[in-house]
Amino acid sequence: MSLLMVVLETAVSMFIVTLLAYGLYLYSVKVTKSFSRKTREKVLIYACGEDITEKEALLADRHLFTTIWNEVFKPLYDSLRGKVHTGILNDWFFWMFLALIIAYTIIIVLGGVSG
Amino acid sequence: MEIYPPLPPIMIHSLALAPVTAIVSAFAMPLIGLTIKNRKVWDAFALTISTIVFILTGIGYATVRYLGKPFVYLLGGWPPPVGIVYEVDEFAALLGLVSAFIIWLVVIYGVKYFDSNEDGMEWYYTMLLGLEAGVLGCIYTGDVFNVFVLFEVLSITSYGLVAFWNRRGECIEAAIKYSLIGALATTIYFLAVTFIYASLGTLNMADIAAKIRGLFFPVTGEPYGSIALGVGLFLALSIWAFTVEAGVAPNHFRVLDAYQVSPSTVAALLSAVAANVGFYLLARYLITLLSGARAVETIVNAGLLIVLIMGLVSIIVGSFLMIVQSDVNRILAYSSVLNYGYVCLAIGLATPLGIIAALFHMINHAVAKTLIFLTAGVYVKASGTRRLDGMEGVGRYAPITSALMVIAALALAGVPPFNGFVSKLILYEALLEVNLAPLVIIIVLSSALSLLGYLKIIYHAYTKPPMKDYGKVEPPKAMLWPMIILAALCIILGVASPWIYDMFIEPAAHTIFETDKFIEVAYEFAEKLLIGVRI
Repeated sequence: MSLLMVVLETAVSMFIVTLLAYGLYLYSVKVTKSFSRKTREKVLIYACGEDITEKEALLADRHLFTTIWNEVFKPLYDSLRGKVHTGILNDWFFWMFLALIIAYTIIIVLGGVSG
Repeated sequence: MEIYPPLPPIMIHSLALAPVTAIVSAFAMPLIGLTIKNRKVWDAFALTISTIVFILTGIGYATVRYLGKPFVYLLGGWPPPVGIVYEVDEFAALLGLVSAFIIWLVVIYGVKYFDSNEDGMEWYYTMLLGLEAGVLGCIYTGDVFNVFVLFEVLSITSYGLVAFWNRRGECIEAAIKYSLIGALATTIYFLAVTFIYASLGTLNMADIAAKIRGLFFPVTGEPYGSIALGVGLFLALSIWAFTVEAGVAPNHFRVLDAYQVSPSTVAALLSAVAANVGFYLLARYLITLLSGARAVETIVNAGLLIVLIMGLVSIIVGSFLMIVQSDVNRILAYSSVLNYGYVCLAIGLATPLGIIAALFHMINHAVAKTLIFLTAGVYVKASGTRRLDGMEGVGRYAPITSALMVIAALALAGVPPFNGFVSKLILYEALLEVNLAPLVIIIVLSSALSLLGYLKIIYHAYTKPPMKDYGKVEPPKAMLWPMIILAALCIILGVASPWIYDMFIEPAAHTIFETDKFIEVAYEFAEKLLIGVRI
């Protein structure tokens, strides 16, 4: 089966690339560890001298994953979360029945259904 | 001439015995619970039954493979189209076997997952065995009304399972929402059945397939009027009901809350096993029953287009919303919606390669998603919360579980050499085959996004320093072994994919297109009935 031999070859090569990338990552962590240590002075300067803890001064790292993404796709998220995924059953039924109506319309129009 | 060669009784009856054993045991469980107040006995009973059912589905699969054509089992001795029959081809037999296997592993895991003083375990097992009967019945039956009955069995038991932790308000709310929408879906499906019955005068799947193709089938007579209207309504309503069961956007809302709040074992079963029933029925109806019939060709094409669009919407919704969740089960719920999208897209293509991709991804997703839900269950149990910021570092206390979770996450994200990669690659190939290259880009992007979602879990649970001393987190062997088996399968299904593809997936997927055989076997039984009537 040629397709799956291609799959295997790709899998092995991508696996090796992943291992190499991970090795590079580990090396970079080791190298940067020495000068990336957060001293109290650094934190105080960052926080404009306010006496706050290191944890409070830092941006929650989970936001690093998604903030840029969220901002870029804000209008989409506003509709998906604010208007569709409301948790209210009535809203859910609206979207579900809309899907049913669209399904009917497609079948009637494209399918050429007639009595 | 005999329709089948002589077979040992266990091979003849195994496919019918599997759901029957499960449902009879489900009814027996509360009685056992009343008479024997010992949790270990209940565990042993459920474990024994799920093992037996798993073996029976295995024998059933071997039977169908041995025969090389669909196996028709007459319930009560009544042949089609008069009686209810099970008509099982390799596609159905393989899916039944995989479902029973997953349920068996989940039962083993659940024995230690639930505390020894957990209330209502007899009801948990009742619902779980009932769900197994519903799943297998829906997959094996050859009768569209019987699908409705077993769809109800599957739905009602899943409502009970979602509400298992019934002292928690969120579980009750999720169960009510889940049941209201589920009840609507089964009612809509019932309406669909009335339209097909009014139009064709039959409920037997082989008979429906024959009549739509203008072929003669004994006893039930000619179709009434134009079949296009009846089939069109049947198809639109069925697609809607099955996509609700499967959890495909925009019919996915109920599964999000249900997977989020229910026990990990239940979330795994609903996500990996129950959803596959919806996809199986979509493929069976759209392809085996209706595809290739000139009278309804445009209607079926429109139906396939709907399925394809819903798959695409599901992929977009699942991948976008997955990465912004902060609840581990909700991330996995959106991941399910995303993967349901892939399967739906593959079914919507209705090409041999598309169906191979759909079947392979249904199996791969079932294995990997069960694994990730079970590993997440360990974290949630140890940390006492589902929120990612409440389980920081918990994974460090359970290195084996964490390693298994990483395997599941990579498999689901489609990273080679794990199983999810292979089925996604076949899906790319299937899309390129019909010149839908832009959809390949969407799938690749959605996979990359989903990887961010899984990394979020691993990052919080493993990479971050522990918030507190979690104590002993690594689960006992009874919980660990099912997860190890699933992880091993994630690797085997990926690494040995060429062999698995040739031996199991391709032949099974091919049978969904063999409408002629599907009709022929049932016809041979029906012909006997006709001869009997003439005599």
